[in-house]
Amino acid sequence: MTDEHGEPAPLDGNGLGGVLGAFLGVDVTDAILVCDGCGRQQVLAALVVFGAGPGGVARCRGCSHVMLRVAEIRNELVVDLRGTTRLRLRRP
Amino acid sequence: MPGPLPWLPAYLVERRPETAAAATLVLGVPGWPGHLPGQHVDVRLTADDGYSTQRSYSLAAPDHGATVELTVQRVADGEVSPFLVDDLAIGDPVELRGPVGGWFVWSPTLPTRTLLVAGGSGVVPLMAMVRARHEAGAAAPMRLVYSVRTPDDVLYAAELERRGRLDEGLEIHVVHTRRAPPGDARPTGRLTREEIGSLAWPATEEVLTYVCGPTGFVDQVAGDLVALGYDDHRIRTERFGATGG
Amino acid sequence: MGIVTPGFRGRGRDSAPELPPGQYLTHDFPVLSAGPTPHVETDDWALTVTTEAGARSRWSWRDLLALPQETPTVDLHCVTKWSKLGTRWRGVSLDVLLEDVETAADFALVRCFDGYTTNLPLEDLLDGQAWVAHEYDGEPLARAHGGPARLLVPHLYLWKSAKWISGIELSDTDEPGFWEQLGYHDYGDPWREQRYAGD
Repeated sequence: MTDEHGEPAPLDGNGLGGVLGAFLGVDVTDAILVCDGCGRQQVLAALVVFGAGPGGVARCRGCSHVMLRVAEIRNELVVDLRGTTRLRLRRP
Repeated sequence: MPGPLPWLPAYLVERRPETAAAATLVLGVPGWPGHLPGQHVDVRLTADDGYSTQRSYSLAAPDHGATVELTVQRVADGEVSPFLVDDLAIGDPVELRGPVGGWFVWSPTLPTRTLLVAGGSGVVPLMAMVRARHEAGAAAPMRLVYSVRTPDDVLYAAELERRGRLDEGLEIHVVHTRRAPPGDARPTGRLTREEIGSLAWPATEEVLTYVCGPTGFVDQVAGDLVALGYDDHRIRTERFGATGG
Repeated sequence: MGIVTPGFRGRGRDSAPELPPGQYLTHDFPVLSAGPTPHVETDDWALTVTTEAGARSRWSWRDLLALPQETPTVDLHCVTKWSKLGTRWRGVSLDVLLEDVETAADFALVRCFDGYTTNLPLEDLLDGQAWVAHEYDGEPLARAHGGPARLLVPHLYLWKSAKWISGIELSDTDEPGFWEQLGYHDYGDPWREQRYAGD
């Protein structure tokens, strides 16, 4: 996905809702995450997301630190959260 | 507790042209669980040799049972959108996963004022909110600021004009960036911060804001709103790519 | 397999007998990125190779261009299932860069200006199999495709051909890179369809 300059056009965390919801059974786009890089608190929907084939990378809107990596591998969803210090979920 | 989102077969019931480059697809989805205004779906297309690809599209109408409406803008050289706008035949299936999203959602029961800011086809999920407000007879004020290139690109033009006239408490402002209709006093060009300030309620009012459009548009508008004093936590955003469709 | 939508073919996509399993032919050059495209000026560019003993070798942009250049024409295979055949590159073979590097390491971790990493066996960087490429199709490599310079290891899936390469760390242990940490294959041979760990 590129813009008119051939740059990758990032989307946002709303777009991760489908794949996460498919595995978790609940919507997590309104989950609150705290960035391990700068401490900024933000909802998953607002993260800067780069899609990369089977994987997706979600970055902090403040400092661009990688907060979340997601890959759909065979029948598994792998989520790497090492860039996130805290994840808060609402009861469905 | 809701279960995992499965891929559901969805059948094209009707195609409504909206502009020269966009059409609304009405899809019948047996077992559709219902949805909220602002939510989207993932659409998956599979070729007969097994190749498949998926895209996200916003739901354009409020929950009407087992049919959903998607408005798709044709992206030049796109892989999926030209097929959906031009080629998918009535009665043929696609697969659909959803509804998706629990943050970029609106409810007619919200008592607060709602500001909607759309860039291009970012108006689609906001239209679901305008329509839901109408269907629920909701009274809380709503404003839609819709930035679009030319009058020929306005989605839902006739309906927006009608709702703006008839729905009490609803204001529609269409701004043109490239070409305005004859008689439009506003010079063409992008929405400026001053203009957003004049079209929005003062930041001192309690307002819930939804901004949807291409990434650059949303970042600009959200930044302008914060600079105008709007609370970052009451601005909800949804971005889509410039291409890829 | 999902429900087939009649008439849907996908874009610029053909299957071809010479492709690895599960791959489709594409004619454009899709851009996949894990983040914003870094702006790296050639004046600021450098490649650093670090051995398992901690010894460093460093090449500036000028150094790189002064080395013998090769013009490989290679096929690319992306794990997202597109393949592009007959792509033309210009760059420096890793055989040249590593010629005077004293090492007995088995593995390489490639580092990039945007923080991306990927791992592969050192022997896959040698013997005419890998380049630091800075021209594509006769033009300076576009930033979106990894310019000013990227690694090119075309016999492995394209995520190993790291864009915006800044360094190579040689090591006795195989340390997983950015995608390998999530379960992408440590080796990634498209002909054996090694997309994910365990393939």
